[in-house]
Amino acid sequence: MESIELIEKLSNTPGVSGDERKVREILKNEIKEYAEKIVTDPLGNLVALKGMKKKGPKIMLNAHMDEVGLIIDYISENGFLQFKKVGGIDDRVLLGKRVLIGEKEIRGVIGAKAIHLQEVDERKKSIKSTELYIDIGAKDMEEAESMAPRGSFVAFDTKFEEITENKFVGKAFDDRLGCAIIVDLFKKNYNVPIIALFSTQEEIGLRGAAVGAHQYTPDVAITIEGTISNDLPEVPDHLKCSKLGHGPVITVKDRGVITDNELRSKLISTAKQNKIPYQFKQVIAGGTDSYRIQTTKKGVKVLTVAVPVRYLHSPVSLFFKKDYLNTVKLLNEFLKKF
Amino acid sequence: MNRKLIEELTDAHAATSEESTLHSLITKELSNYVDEIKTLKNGSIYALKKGKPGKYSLMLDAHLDEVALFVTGITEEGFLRVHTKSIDLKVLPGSIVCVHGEQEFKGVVGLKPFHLESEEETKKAVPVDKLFVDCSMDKERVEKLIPIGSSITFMPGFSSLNKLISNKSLDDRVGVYTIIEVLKSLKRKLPLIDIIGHFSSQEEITGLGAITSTYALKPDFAIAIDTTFGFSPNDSERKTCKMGKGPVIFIGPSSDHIINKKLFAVADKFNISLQQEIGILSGTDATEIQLVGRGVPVGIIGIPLRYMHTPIEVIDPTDVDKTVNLLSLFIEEIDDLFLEALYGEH
Repeated sequence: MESIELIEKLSNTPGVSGDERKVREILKNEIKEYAEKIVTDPLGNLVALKGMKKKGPKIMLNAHMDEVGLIIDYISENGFLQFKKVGGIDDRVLLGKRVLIGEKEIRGVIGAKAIHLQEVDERKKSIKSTELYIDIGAKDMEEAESMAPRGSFVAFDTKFEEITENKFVGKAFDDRLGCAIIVDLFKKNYNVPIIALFSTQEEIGLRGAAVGAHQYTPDVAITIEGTISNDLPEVPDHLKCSKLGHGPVITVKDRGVITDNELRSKLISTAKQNKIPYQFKQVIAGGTDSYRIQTTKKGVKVLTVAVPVRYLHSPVSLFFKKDYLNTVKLLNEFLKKF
Repeated sequence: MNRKLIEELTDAHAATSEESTLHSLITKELSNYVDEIKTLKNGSIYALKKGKPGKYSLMLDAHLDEVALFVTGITEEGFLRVHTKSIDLKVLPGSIVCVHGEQEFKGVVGLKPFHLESEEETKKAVPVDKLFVDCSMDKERVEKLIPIGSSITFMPGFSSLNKLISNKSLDDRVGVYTIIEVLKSLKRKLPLIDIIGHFSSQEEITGLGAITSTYALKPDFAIAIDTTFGFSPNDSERKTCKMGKGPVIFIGPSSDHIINKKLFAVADKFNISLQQEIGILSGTDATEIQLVGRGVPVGIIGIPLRYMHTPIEVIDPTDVDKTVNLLSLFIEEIDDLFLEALYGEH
């Protein structure tokens, strides 16, 4: 499958933290013919191995399968659903959005009071997610419960599409872009053992990766992400985090790790040699699975590389194809050096 | 309900003043059923089904236009700045919109990452002058293709919620749908009076279409079919009506009591459930139609709708079917007695 086709499929599939099954199935099917062994561990992580008999450092490629979403925790008498957030979502992006609920992907909408019925100060305040509700057209509690029982996961209902040439919008680019990159790389052959770790529950505390590197522990791990771009109007240059169109984003430090200095130098010289644009993550915020992997057993050397994405964790995020391709290219050249 | 037609009507874009995008669909639907279809200079279109000569005419009115944003500026980076008065700004961040420039573009209404904003900031709705639309094009290209003043409408997404239907611009395409179906139901009949289906322009701003078309078409009386607030949590029962309990008759100074009486009588005779909305001015085209020329008696029928002026408006198709039924029967039941009462009164 072509990269963009795979990204489309991964983006359109619901996989909120704690229910990554559908995403895992897609990934498993994509890589099975290239892997010597594929295992799913008790936390739902998908681990695929390749070239394990080869000499040289074992290299792990890691991306998380889960996305932010909601979980139904209450159903009212008149059949409306209320929810908790799963992962970090800005309350301000929820109002008036379409969602897919549960295994059967039932359609719902997050209701919004008509502007005509709002008091002046209501119009100016954002609404807390705890006050919002989902309308699935149920006539009462009983019908709602049968359509979308409490505990159902809720994902945004956003169709992947090309908004203008080679620029794409959709949901869950954090971190389905990372998943797609690993699939691209896993199909190639390198001189060293490769361990792919598609992790679960990253968005609720990097939980899958806490055990994901235990069974097959690498010497080096590269976490591949979709990361924040804040290259928006009125943002000073040093607060932009990363910029779309400026190539892969290399993390020096975030809230959880300082990436390995030696490996990072090697990555940067690879970029320079191959004339691949790159940028550094500017704001010390966020954390990734690389924190968990770095602290596994005796310790693992880690790198974090990401595709810049705008409007992360919202119903609709945006990335440029050239950033994706440059990230694949950089990592491919880097892996060839081992 | 003809779901395909309601889907076509709501998926189409018609920002206020750009209603002509819907004219061909309406013409296609109605040309076999009526005696005359014409567009007007004001952006409205009407269809006439002739009755017996020399009698009165009834105008059924629904508006074509939908709420919209308009482009007010382009930033250095190529993002669009926008303005709107009819849309709740809180529904915009994190949505895809359709930008009607030299061609149609899609854009994202973006929001800064919240962990980079103060808590204070996240408690506020993003004000209109801070909102921006990201079409992912550079300034030069945007300037060429998306002139200032271009309209922006919600991204369509027709979907079924159980037995209910959701999409943008159900306000007031369900009214448009209702009139189309009523006119179709008259095919083999010769109504006592002329029936004009009027699909109006610019309701969301001034009622321009309603005002000027009423002057041109000179109906003797009129009924506006628009949407009204259906109950949902966070709204009070007092301010809303119930979904699925039938059309809502507006009672108050801006509606005519003889028309209302007849609507209730017809509903009673044919066992159609009705609801009432009590108000002063209805906030529909009828308020404007009433004040044209020497004055026009008007009735207002509301179809219950949740989440008005958002991309996810919701209706119950049974309410729409009942409205079509009510109006078709109302037209059949128009008799000299009713017309005399109406005429005598005015």
